[in-house]
Amino acid sequence: MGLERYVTKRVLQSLVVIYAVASIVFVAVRSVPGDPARLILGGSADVDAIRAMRANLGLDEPIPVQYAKWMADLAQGNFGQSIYSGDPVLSMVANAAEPTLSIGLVGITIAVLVAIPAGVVSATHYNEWEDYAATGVAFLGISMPSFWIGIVLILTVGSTLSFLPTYGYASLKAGVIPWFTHTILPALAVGLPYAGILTRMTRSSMLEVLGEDYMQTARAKGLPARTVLLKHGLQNALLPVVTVAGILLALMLGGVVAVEMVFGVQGFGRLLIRSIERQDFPVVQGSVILISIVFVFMNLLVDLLYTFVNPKIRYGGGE
Amino acid sequence: MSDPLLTVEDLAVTFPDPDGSDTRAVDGVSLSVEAGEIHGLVGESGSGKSVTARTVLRLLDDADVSASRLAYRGEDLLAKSEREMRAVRGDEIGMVFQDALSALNPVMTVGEQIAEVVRHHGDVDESTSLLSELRRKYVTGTSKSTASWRRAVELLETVGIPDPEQRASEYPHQLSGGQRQRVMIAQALAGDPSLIIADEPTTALDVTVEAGILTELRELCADFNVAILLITHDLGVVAQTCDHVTVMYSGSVMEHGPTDDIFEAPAHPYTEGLLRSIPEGAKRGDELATIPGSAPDPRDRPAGCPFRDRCPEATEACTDSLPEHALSAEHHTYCHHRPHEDGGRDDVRTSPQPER
Amino acid sequence: MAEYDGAERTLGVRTERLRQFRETIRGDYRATFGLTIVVAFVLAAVFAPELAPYDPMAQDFAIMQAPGLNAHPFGTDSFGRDLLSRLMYGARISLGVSLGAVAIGGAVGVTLGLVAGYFGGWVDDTLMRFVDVLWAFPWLLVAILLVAVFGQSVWNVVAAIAFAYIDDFARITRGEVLSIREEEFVMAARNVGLDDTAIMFDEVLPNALAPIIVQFTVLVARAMLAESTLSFLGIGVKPTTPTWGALLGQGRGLITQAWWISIIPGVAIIITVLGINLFGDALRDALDVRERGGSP
Repeated sequence: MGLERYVTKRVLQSLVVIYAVASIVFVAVRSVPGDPARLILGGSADVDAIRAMRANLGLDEPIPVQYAKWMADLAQGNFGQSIYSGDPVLSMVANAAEPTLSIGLVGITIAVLVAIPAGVVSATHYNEWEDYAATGVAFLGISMPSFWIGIVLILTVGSTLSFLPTYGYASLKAGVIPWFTHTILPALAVGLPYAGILTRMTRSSMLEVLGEDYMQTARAKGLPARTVLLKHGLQNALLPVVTVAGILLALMLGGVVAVEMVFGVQGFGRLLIRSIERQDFPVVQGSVILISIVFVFMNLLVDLLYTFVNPKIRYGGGE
Repeated sequence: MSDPLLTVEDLAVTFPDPDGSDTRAVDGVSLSVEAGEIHGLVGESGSGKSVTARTVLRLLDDADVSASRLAYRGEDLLAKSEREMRAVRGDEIGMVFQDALSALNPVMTVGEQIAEVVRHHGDVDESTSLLSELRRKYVTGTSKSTASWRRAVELLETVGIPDPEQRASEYPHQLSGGQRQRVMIAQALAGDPSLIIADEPTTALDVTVEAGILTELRELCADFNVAILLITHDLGVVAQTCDHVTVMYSGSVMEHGPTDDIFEAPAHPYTEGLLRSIPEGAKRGDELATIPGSAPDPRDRPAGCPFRDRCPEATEACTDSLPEHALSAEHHTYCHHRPHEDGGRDDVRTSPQPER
Repeated sequence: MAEYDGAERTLGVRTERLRQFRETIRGDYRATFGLTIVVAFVLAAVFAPELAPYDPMAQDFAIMQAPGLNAHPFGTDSFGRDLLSRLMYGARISLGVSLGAVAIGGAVGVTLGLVAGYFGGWVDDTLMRFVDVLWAFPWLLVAILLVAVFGQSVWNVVAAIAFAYIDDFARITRGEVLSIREEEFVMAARNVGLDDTAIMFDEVLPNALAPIIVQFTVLVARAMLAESTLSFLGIGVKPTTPTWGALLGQGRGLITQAWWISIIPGVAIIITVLGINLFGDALRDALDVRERGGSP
């Protein structure tokens, strides 16, 4: 299959998935017990006001019409408005995205920088103390909730290193250094469990690669051990790791949201939680769909990245 | 005659097992390869021929190796450090593995896989530091204008790959089985070695492709004056290709000598059995000869001749020693019953067998 | 003469594998250690009413936010409730929710994967597209949606986590089934005219169990983390319910005054999850299952 056909097929599949997600959200929101109009206006609102609000929300129309309008709105990028502020959901999410993305991306970077060397060392020192140390720490990492790591970091690092703030967020616009000092602790909290998973995956994948024939070939060619390991082994070992990177993104989302709460960061997590507490349905449903879209396309991207790093797929043939 | 290119004397290779039952894969093997010859190492799977080959390059890290002599051009290979061995591997001794698809790196172009051998062992002025190798692999790619790449393309042409410039930029899975094996050969040649160890180079290939590869090996041997240690289980391949043969069974050498002598007058009962089991000239309905029984478990090999349980001529004597007989200057066999009692010299030498 | 001996052969292979498995697992310190932890916590949960020193709901305003004392080894929370007792009762919900959620997700996912892999073709395509859609919902969003629609309850947490793990089980099962359905004993079973349901559940499923069991343990560990995250965020169980995550969440604003309120439940979570993970890892090696990624 040619690369273009593959990409087209995957994009179409992704659109179908997003369409299905949007439909499910539509059904879910329609099955909320009680009348959204009454909920918005409060229990004491009079009948006329509620009728007006229902009309305003489009709830007086037949369900199929509501569904068509809902889809048409989504297609135009209209994800609804907050009941409270009247702000469009899209811009609310966009405003909350920077801290969340910062924490997430720095977290992933830390995880990758820690996990790949740790996994490689662990595999090359199989059943030696380096291996035990790395797998032990990794085990601990995957067994800790990231928000709890956050709490421990605040209690330990935050109280000893006073230049690291333990509360709030500073935008990149305020400068790289305040941004970094505010981001590093939450990013560590998010990244460490992720590093644990990646270390274990890199290790087991590298162990498999070390037993491959081409590694012996590379040695038989008289290449130095480190060249054999890093030039011939690393890319092959990381291929299976890349395929699950997308899945791991979902894991991080939960971590980031909870860690934001620990560090008092006004990010996407805070927005979501507050909207639930205030029963701001349009924001909740809009955010869910937006996140799903981001998520689906992130995975599409990961798949494409995989085809790029794996010549077997890039040039067809093979498996 | 001067020193042979490769000398192996009394090689024993054991894989330790923490449970106590160590695997003695090779047990007292001797062979020598002369410069420029093709030497066949024959045996069924599990006879220790591949282990012998890998031991020469010291590729087996988890094995206990001992030998009264393991020398290349008179230099003791067992005394060399890992760094010194790197100067032998690829440079002096090239290696061709059986299954080229798994022995070639799937994520590197075949050109780069050959070019890196040229850079490390050839006469080109290109950096081989870890950083520059990693930069070539992950960042810049291999420059097509470098001497090593041009040499790689030349080598592909030498081993008979059509359109070598195009092929050099392709990945192993894009080539046919025969082409991949030719790439392996080009890679083995790239360091300009004096010896190539080819481990079952044609086993994974179709018969027609196999013939082409064998012809290629013979021609390269002549053109480049490179010796080949050809490991195979196929006596047909030996007959077509080799000057000398060493026959192995269950970790030990049974017989060695010039190919013609061995095919015309096999001395060891095992060699005789092997030759009888070649289907050459057999008609439909003819029963092919087989050797009844199976090889002993390498974790629990008895002293004496390992073949004795399957040998029609075995006697009490076979249980304690494996004597060497010289049938001619070059043709030797290891058996109590050879040559037959009616003639020949009989200088019984008890091979060093550990008491168990 | 294609005699049908599938069942016996499978049985023979299975007993042999079981024997090997028992041997491997017995000598594995990870299994011993992990299982000890898990069993200890399960016992503490089951016998919480007998073992807990206090009523988990009993408030004592004389000793609010007290650190560990003889009377209250793990201290008290901001209502003067005994933390140790609340932890033991919390174990019931936290363990119950995790096991229940993974069991439900597993039952649905394994069935989907089994049917998709066994029948192949359009059945496979349709079911796996459906699994793709499930997978596009990060579990947190499912939980948020459920809570937004139905309010906070233990069942929503169970449903959200179960929902998130369906695709994992479906994919693993399908992958195994695809290779198993080509095996001879399946062909033999078909030749003697067993119906598809019987073949799927009696012949194919038992042979696909190893990776499913390993995944089960891995996901129970992750479910514990997911439950604690949801409760911590206040979108899981009702705040009065003492799950470990909720206990931890109550200490959130009190880190500097009363660190033990959040640290001790966290340690309980970690030890349990570590125990399950260690046991799962030993299982993976004993059953010879390849490591892979998966849902949170």
